[in-house]
Order: sequence, then structure tokens, then C-alpha cells
Amino acid sequence: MSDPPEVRQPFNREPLVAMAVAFAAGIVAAKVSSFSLTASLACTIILCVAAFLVRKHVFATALILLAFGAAGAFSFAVETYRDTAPDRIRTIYDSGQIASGLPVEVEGILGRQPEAAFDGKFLTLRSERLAHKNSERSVVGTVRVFVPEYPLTANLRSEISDLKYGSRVRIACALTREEQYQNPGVISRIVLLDRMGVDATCSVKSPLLIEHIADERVFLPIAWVYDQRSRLIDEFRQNLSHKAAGVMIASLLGNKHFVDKDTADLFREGGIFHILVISGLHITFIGGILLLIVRRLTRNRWLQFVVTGGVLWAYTLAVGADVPVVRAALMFTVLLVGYAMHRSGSLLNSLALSVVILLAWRPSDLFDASLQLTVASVAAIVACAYPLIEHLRAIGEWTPTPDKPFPPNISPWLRRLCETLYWNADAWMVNARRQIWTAALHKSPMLQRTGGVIQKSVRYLFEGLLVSLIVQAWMLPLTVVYFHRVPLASVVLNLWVGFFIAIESFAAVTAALASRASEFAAAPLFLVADAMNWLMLALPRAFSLFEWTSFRLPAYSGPGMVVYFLYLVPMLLMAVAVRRWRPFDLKPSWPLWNRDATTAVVAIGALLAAIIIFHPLSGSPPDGRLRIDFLGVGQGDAVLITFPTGETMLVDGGGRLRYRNEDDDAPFEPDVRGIGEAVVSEVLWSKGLSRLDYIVATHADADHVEGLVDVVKNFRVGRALFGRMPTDDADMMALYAALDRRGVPYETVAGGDLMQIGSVKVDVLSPAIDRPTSSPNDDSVVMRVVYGSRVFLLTGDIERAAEWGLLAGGTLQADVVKVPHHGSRTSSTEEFIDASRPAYAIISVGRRSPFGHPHADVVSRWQTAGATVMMTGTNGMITISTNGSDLLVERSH
Amino acid sequence: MNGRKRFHLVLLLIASLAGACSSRVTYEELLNEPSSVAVNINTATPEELEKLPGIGTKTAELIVNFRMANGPFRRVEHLMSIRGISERRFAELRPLIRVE
Repeated sequence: MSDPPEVRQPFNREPLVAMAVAFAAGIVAAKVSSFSLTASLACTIILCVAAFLVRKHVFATALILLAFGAAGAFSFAVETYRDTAPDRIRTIYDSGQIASGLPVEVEGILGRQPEAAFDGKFLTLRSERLAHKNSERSVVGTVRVFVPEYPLTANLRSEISDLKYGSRVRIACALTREEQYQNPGVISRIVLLDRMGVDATCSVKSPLLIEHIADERVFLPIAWVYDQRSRLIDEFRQNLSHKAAGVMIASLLGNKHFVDKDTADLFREGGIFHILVISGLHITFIGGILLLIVRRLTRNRWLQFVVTGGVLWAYTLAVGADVPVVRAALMFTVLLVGYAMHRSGSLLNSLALSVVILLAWRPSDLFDASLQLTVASVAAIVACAYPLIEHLRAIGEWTPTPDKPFPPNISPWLRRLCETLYWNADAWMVNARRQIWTAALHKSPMLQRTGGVIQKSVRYLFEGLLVSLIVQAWMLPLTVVYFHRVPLASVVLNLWVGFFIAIESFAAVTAALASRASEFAAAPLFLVADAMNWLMLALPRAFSLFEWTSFRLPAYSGPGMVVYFLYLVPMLLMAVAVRRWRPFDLKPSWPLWNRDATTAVVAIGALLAAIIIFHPLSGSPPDGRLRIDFLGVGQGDAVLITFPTGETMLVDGGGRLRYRNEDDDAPFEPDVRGIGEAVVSEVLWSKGLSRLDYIVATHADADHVEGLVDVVKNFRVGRALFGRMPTDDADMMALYAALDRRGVPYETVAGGDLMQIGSVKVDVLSPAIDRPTSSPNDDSVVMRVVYGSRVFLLTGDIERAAEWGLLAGGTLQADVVKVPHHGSRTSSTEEFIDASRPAYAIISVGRRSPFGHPHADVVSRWQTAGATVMMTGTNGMITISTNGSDLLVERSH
Repeated sequence: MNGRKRFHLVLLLIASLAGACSSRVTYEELLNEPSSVAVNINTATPEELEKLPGIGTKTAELIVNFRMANGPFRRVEHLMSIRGISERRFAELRPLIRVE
């Protein structure tokens, strides 16, 4: 019997996919070569007209795609025009009309309810007027203000307790829009602000600096929704344990400020942080439940659409209408429209339509990690995972039917697997009795006797793991480039955490609603939520004990990045293969042309994955130069020495000084990315490093040592060197614990020790082993690095006493000196400066030091001695390199 | 009215006047209203500013510099924009300063 002729579909089922790609390409082209507004609009219109004129030809498709590209370029031009409008606050600051950090008064209306954080509130202001130095002007733009919350000094009243959505306020503060650390490899703060849609930020010293002028009229239902959200936040905080409250408030209500660091780190390590923020998962879940409820109330699909859509968008607005949430709501709405029209939608087409709408709204999001991750994960599910599962289900459930009269043509183990999961013997028996023919079907006997529930559970588990695995495979380049992590455990953890958080959410929401009627009835439900939270975290905690389940790695930069784009090819071919696969064809066929092609694609995919994971040649090859990078870490030190042989040494890792409040009974550690993770590790990864041969902690101050804890967790460290350390310091305890866990050997160094690394001599000059000092700063490790005729002096935080001690020891002449103690006048004595007489004096300090570092007289002392003084706060990362005789200085800013 | 009653009336009148005066003083304290001898931080010289509690030479200089750079203070609360004047210090200064 011959095969029935294959009917060629005249229309592409997913036209929007090509259009979305064309739109995106237009945006990329516009970013690279900036088209003007009018040019791109003209192009779009001309191409549309042309496409209409030749609509009977095949050209028309090409012209339509080009028209979409031109439309993409046009959207990008519009966005750039809006962003650089002269009355936008960001334009005013970017052009320097007002310098960042100067005191101003900004007046505007609160665009949403004040957002609670654990130590204050965030106000989001739609600004209208800006006053600076007596002149006032009208402006546009969003400003975010942080108001710290501590009990107001007695006798003072503040006006802000009744601030709400729609309140008009006038705030006296110092708006900032500036870079923070300025190291290559660390994302720019200004870019981050722009992604969030915020023009400038500030932190007011006291709530008294906020004037509550009036309350503008607002749309009451929205105000009510905001109110309910605030109430829920308070209820969760009062009734749940602080860990569970943090998780619930983040994942249900979109406020991440109450998540503690331990929980956040567990989620990050597990690669499941997306569960903690409101994302497509939540919207789909909530939307799905809403739809199920609404379907029971009415059969009119458009009414279902309006109600479900209305509630979903109200929820989106209530939780802050952040871009990722709006994205997810938009995608769900697009699908819902198809449902309302009684059409079966193609998920891929709906995804493409959502992408076009999103990119038309905010074209620069194309370069945003958040959008890329969303699109990659949804595309993985929709283009690859779902169709594959549909195929497996069809194989497993196969019974003779007119369009599939013959059993599937696949290997026996695959058939057995599918039948184990999907074969429903009871349904077959019922169906078989209705037929006039009989058939004997030999299916896999496993699970036949165990019953439906076990089979269903195994099936859901298998499907979940398969989807999770495919999504992780597709997202591999993105997680490596943006998070520097390969979270293998997430394949399993997605299911575990998703399951428990669903139960926990249900319990918490029911409890919150019940507590309005009866506190007594709600209490056990809150306990259930707490228990579920503990269970949910148990497995990620167990996994975190094994390093290989989630490891950190550098990403390629420069030409090496091509490997991430190449990786897309086997992934896309995999999706194509799944769609072309016809297991019921009479002739056994390979989905991708033939067996060799399929094997080749799989092999290449695996090879590229291996390259991405093991990152060979990611660092730059040793070039015979000694490089010393003074990282910009704000207040603190972090110096990376790269030796001519390629070995690396990190001296101090920056960190934040924390003022531990003595009367904190249950200290809540907020989830703030430490400097070690956010700055130092990122710089090291951008250099392609995953290993440090040495780390040195000069002394135990938090702004030198705290960052090292994160560095030890993220990199393979060869050995650790310490000076004389106090025995009970909390940061040092954390560092020792991290070193022990990774099995890194550590030793103490003192004055007189000598290290030879290749042809570079590293002399430890201080602290003297037999002479105890009075101040811990004076115990800092001081190192002199000599290569050829060039000498570098790294001084830690030494003060006068140690400087005079060094003078007694011998020659201190150097080409480059790291100014001790961040340029404070406790150090940098005349004698020390005279003895060292460097060409360059580097001060590692923040832009605005709370201690007033560097002191002006210290800076001028170094300058008078003939040194060029450079500061990491203003110049960003400063790199000095030498081949033994020359001296090259580079700075990032 | 006999003399005794008149005497009591006058006593009552004087007492109520005294009470009114003293209650006005307490009322002012409660409201933290500046008294008329309050320092006008927009026109004061550095020496006058140094007389205020908690303000030394450096802070006075900062206040004057701020005034010159950014114009006069619109509200007394804006004094907290100066580095070194915390909320607590402002609470002490509040009854002693004014802006016009």
C-alpha cells in the first residue's frame, strides 16, 4: 500500500515567529547604527506599501519581514527619543546640568503605595518639578527614594505615616545617578537603573525632609488593590516565621525586601531564584486557577476572558507592574484571547506575538537578561518540551485508529518507556468492546497492576524532569553569562520547590483570608505554611553541601563569545527534529534527515556544552608581564596580582562594614549582594579566571576580609596567607570556615618571609613576628613585589607606628605605592612618603567615604613628593603592568 | 459685691491670667514653636550659628557654604541636609531656629 500523498499546508502555522525575529533584528540594527526616527518610519511605510503591491508574489513575504525589521528600528528610535527628552531627569543628570549627589528638591506624585522594606520604605515618585539652587523647572521621570525607619526622635512629628498611592510630596534630598564601582566586567549601575525604569535614586536622612502636600485623586479600585496588598504583607509578617514570610511576600506579592540572605542564597545556588520572584510560573498558575473558577460560573468565553484578564491585570498592577510580571501577564492574555475566540492557539505563535508587543513597548529590553531568560525558557518549553511529550504520549497510548493503523516505528526501549508511562489498559478495554474488530495489543507489563495513581505520579515526575532538563539545556549560555553558574541541581529542585511552594502559598493565602474572620482558625494554617517552607528549603540545603550540583564559572568575553551563539544551533535543530519526528510513519525515519546527521548534531551539541562548562582557554595567556589591578570596591581594598607566569594572587577582597546592633535579638540578614560576590568575583570572572593561586588577607577589618569569603566560595583557591589575626573576629571565623569547607590550606606570614613566584620576588615586610602592636591595623601584612627593576608596595591599613617600624627595616623605595589606610591621616607620614617616593600613589577608597577618606592633606603630601595620585573611587579599576622595566598605567574611567 | 468676694475675684482673675501666660509657654514648648529669639538660619553669621548647641566652627561653615551654593533654606528641616546635623541634633535645634 502506498503512502497517502502528503498535503502541503499553504500557510505557515507560526508566521509570527519569523516576524518577531525580523523585529528583533531591526532593533539590533538600530542599536548598532542608530537610524533616525523619520527614516525608519518612512522605510516601514514604503515596505508595507510595496508588500501590498506585490502581494501575489513570493516577494511579498520577504518585504513584510523587512517591514517588520524597519518597524523594530523605528520603535528603538522612538524609545531613544523619549529617553533623551530634555526635561527627563536622566537627561538632566547625564548631560551634567545637575551633578549627581547635589541637594535638590523634587516634587511629584507617588505612583504606587510606599513599598515596605525591612528597615524602611521605598517611595516611587512620578516627578513633576525639580528645584536646584533656587531655580525650579518642570521635569518628567521616575525617582526612587528610600526612607529609613527608625523611631523618630522625641517631640518630632513626621508627615509621612499617611503617604499612599496618589500622595503629592516634596522631598529635599541628594539625587544620585552615577556609577558605583566602575570595574570592567561589573554591570553599570546606571544601566541597571534604566532597566528598572528609574531615573535617579536617593536616600533621605530623615522622614522630616518629606513634605506631604496633598492627595491627588486616584482610581479607587487600584487604590483598594494596593491597600489589600499592604494588608497581606503585614499579615504575613505578623503570623509567619520570618523565613516563610519573606518567601511568601516575595513570590506572591512581589516584594523581595523581606527575604533573608540564607534563603536567597539557597534559591540562587539551586538555580531556582525565578520561583522567588513573580514570573511566568506564578502568572500561569494564578491565571489557570482563576480560569478554572470562572469557567464554573459562566459559559460565555468572552466574559471569562474579561473577568480572568481583569483580575490578572489588577494583580499585576498590585505587585508593582515590574517588567517581568507585565511580560508574563501579556503572554497569558494573548493565549486567553485565542481561547475566548474558540480557537486552538499555537503556543509558539502566541509567544512570538507577545515578544513583538513587548519589544514594541520597550525595544531595549531585547538586550536585557530578564527578557532573554523568559523567552529562552518559554521557547524551550513550547518549541521542544511540549511537542516531545505529546509524541511520547501518542506512542504510549497508541491503539489502532484509522489515521494511525500501525504501531509506532521506534526502538523497543523507547516504546516500553512510553507505554509504561501512558498506557491506560482500562480505557482500551472499554474502547475495544465497542469495535467490530478485535486486536491483541502487547504492551509493557510494568505498572499495569499498580494502578492509576502511581502511574500518574510517575508520569508527572517524568514529564517535569524532562521539561526541567530541556529548559536548563536551552538556558545554559544565559545562566553562564549572566549568573556565572551552572545549576545542575535545578532540574530536580524546580519540581521539589515548585510543589512545596504551591502548597505553602495556598495555606498562607487561605490563612490570611481566614484570619479576617477568625484568628483561631487561621493559626494552624499558618503553621502548615511554616512547615511547608521548612520542607521546601530542606532539599536545596542538602544539595548545597555538594559543590558539583551548582558550580561557578567564568564566561568567555570577546571573540570567545561566539561559542554561546553557536550553541543555539544544535538547540534549534533539536526543536526542528522534534517537530519533524513522525513515529507512526511506515518507513522508519530519522527526524533529521538521516542517522549520521542526527548523531552529528547531538555530538556537536554535547561538545559545545562541554566547552561552555569547562571553559578552556577562557583566561588570557600569560604574556610575561606583571599586572597589578587595584579594584574599585568602594571603601576597602582588593588588589589582584597576575604574575608573568600566569599565577594569580588576590590581596584582600573588599567588603562592607556592618554596624552590628547589640540589641538585635533575632538579627535579620537582608539579601544584599556582598562586594565579594557582586564586584570582586565578577571582575575575576570577566578575566576568565576560575582559580586563584593565592589569597592574602592583610588584616581582619570587614572592608578587607568580608569579600574574601565569597571569593573562596566561588573560586578554587590554592592557598591562603594571613597576617596576625584576632582570635574572635566574626568575619575571620566565616573565612576560616569557608576555607576549611573547600580544603584550602592556610598559613601565617610575617615580616621576613620571602616568596619567589617565577622571576617575581614577593617580600613580606610586616608584621614583625616578635613585636606585638597596639592596633590591629598596624598588624596589616605589608608586601613588596619586585619584578626586574620595578617595585610595588602594598600596605594594607598600616598606621604611623607600623610605618616607622618599616623605615627601620631597609629601603622602601618603590615605583607604585598603595596609600595606606585609604588615605587617612593616621598614616602617610612624611618620613614614609620620603622613603618611598613613588611615581604613582594609589588610594583605594569609595566615591564618598563616610570617614572623609582620603584626607586632603594626605593627598597633597603625596603630590608634593612628586607622585601622581589616583583614586579607585574616581578612576574605577586602576591597572599597572610592567615587563620588568617599563610601567603602563590604565584606568577604567 | 462685698470686699471679700471682690478680693477673691481679683485673685482668681490674676491667677487665671498667670495660668494663661504659663500655659501659653507650655503650649509653645509642646508645639515646638520657635520663640521670637530664634536664630534665622538664612541670615545668621557663622558666629551666631556657632552659638547654637551642637554646632561648631566646621558645621557653621558648612551651613554658610550650603546657603551660598543652594540658596536660602525653605524650611528648618532642610538643615538636616548638612553633613553632621542628624535628626537628633535637629530636634535640639528645632525650637531655636527659624527661616524667615
